[in-house]
Amino acid sequence: VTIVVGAAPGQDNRAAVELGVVLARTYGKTLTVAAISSTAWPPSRDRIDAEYQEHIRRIAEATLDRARELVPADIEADYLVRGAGSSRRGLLEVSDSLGADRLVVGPAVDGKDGRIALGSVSNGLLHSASLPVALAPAGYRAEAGARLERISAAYSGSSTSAGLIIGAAMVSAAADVPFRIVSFAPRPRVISAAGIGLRAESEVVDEWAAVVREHTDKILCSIDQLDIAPGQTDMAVGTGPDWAKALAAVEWEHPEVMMLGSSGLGALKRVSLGSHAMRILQNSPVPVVVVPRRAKESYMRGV
Amino acid sequence: MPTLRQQLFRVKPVPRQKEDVETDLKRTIGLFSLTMVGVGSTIGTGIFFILSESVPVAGPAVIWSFIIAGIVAGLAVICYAELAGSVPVSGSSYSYAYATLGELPAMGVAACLLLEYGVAGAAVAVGWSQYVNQLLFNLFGFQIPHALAYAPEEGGIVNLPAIALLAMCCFLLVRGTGESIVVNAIMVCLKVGVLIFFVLVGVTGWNTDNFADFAPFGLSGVVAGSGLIFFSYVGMDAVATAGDETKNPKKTMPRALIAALLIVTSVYVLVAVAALSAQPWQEFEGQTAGLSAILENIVGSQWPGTVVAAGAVISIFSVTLVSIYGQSRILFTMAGDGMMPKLFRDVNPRTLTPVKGTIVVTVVIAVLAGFIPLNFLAEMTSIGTLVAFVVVSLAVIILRVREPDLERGFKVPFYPVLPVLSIIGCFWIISSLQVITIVVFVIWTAVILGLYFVFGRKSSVLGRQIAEAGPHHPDEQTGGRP
Repeated sequence: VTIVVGAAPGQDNRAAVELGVVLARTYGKTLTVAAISSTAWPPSRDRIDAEYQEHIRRIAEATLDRARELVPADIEADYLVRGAGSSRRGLLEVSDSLGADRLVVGPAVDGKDGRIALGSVSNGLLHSASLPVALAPAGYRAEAGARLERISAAYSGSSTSAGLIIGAAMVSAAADVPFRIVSFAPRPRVISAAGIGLRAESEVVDEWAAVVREHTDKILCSIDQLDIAPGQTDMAVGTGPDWAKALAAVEWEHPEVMMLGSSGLGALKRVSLGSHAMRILQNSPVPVVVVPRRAKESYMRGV
Repeated sequence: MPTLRQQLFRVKPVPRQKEDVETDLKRTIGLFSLTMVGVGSTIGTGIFFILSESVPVAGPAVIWSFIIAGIVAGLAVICYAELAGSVPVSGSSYSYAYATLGELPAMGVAACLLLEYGVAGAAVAVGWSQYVNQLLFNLFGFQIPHALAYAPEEGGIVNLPAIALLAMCCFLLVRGTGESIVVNAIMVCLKVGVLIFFVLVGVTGWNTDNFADFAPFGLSGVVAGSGLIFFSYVGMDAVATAGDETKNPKKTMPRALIAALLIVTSVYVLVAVAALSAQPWQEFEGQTAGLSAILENIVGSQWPGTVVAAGAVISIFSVTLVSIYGQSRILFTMAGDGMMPKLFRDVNPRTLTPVKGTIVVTVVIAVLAGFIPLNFLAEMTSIGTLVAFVVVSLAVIILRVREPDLERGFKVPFYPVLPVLSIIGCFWIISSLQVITIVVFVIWTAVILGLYFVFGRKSSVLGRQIAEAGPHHPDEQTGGRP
């Protein structure tokens, strides 16, 4: 089984490739770097079009050559160019035909350094992929020979995220990577006029953290395969005046990834990831693996 | 086993503030913001509809009722500020009472607070429904049928708009809503703006004859009016509870209090004068959506009334929101102490709000708002607040005697005259309330204290902690700060 890295032709794909390398090394998988070149539609026998196709193909090949230089010798890797109507469809077709279990994509070109920026391709993938999609932040780099130091799973309290943390716990157990659960919330604002003191909400946040702890313990301990005792799982709760500060309030390993659940149902784009999940994604300092609901079942089996 | 006295007067030790809270919430509130908190939480509670309840009781001398109520509220809130400043606990007067006087007095204060927030929320929602009806009529030419817009005693079946308002507020609070100091200031400006607009338009209908029969019911009428009006000063204590975020509280707190009190009282008096000058006092009785009705009579066209009604609908909405919010958070704290069912402590992990508690609170308030008439609700709110103020003033005296050396962020001037005056003032107003109000209040408090004796006393988290710590800590059981 392999991890597919989507390489955007003619762009800097270093962030995606480096993340792919870390994941492949950690999970003991091979790597497939795929560049999608767009095919003409409708198919035409026009000479000019054929020349253009050839040009596009050369750019894709050159992109793969640059990717080759980034993949160290200890990773078994394949490189391929695939023609497809759209990058999104091409990457999904490649993943499908190879039976890949992760798809790694880089940030949008204009992404802010150190943050994940969704481009048209990654955004589309989040809503149509049936396998987990790893998103590298802009400028992502990993040290030579690095393995994941930890896998965090974001718990939001929904049933989707309950499934997610089970799956993430299994994956990290299989790969022998430390596991923890993270929960984030911007600290709610107190309504000042209520006459209950301006710290009333921090008490609510404390209680919330206790509830999250209790829930996740209950969920994880219910899985016999995992053999987790209550209170054993690491848990980090990040709060702050806004989402960015809430995510920064938690310490992060390097390299680390955060698993995030997606319901993958929405016709409306934003809704399918959930507004909270979207905020977490945008403010995460580490790569995020978005797990679509459709992938959950196979994911929970620990692949 | 601790003795009964030890149980009833065990004092909750003051927790050390957590580091992250300290860094996150610095002392950021200045004089202006704190004044705005006071004005914002007070104004708009009652002024939009209390005139039609209080003028028939006091006549034009209702102006004095406002001033008396304002002075008594001011005295009590100054005591409140000392108490808030001497207990480094953030919270409502329930938390202060628990940290100073003990468990039983804290439950007594809680009974008052539940009335203050719950019943005020209901009263305000009832007033809102009047203005919504007025607004609907002015804008679209129809009204909600009488049967569905008034309580049974007022000839209706149920007050549906009030219930709808509460449901909306509940929905917002369950989803999680907060407000910044900036939003608060904007709301204050809106409310004050609408009231000033009323005054400016209202004085164009000035007729001095309307003041001729100034105090038809004498002093007793004036004091009775204060009892109803006191309700319009509910919320002033928010200034004291914001104290731990205030820059230089020793100076800022009293100034903000006095400034807020002056602003609020002036606005109220101006509104009352403008309204009284415009129509004979006999006409106030039974007038719904009073302020906009008065303007329509003066101007002879609808638009000024529509402006006031719209302002009232928006500002009363925020007051209702605050009531449910405050109520649910107080119950949240109490549940954490083991004084209320665990249900109120239940935080929804998705929304970070005490969803179940908020819904229960809303349902109870909705029942009150749907079926109980306004004037009774107003009096119940007043008595709850007044008794809470008495306890707070007493607490100041008790703490001064018991712990004279305690460091206080703010000290009441003219001690002991001021707290004593505050207590006398509160009792004076209480004595003017209807007998039924006092009886219901006593029953209510007895029920809450009874529940405490049967359940809370045993489920007290503090009691369990003391029991676990062993019997050798007499200090912790009987009082005194650790």
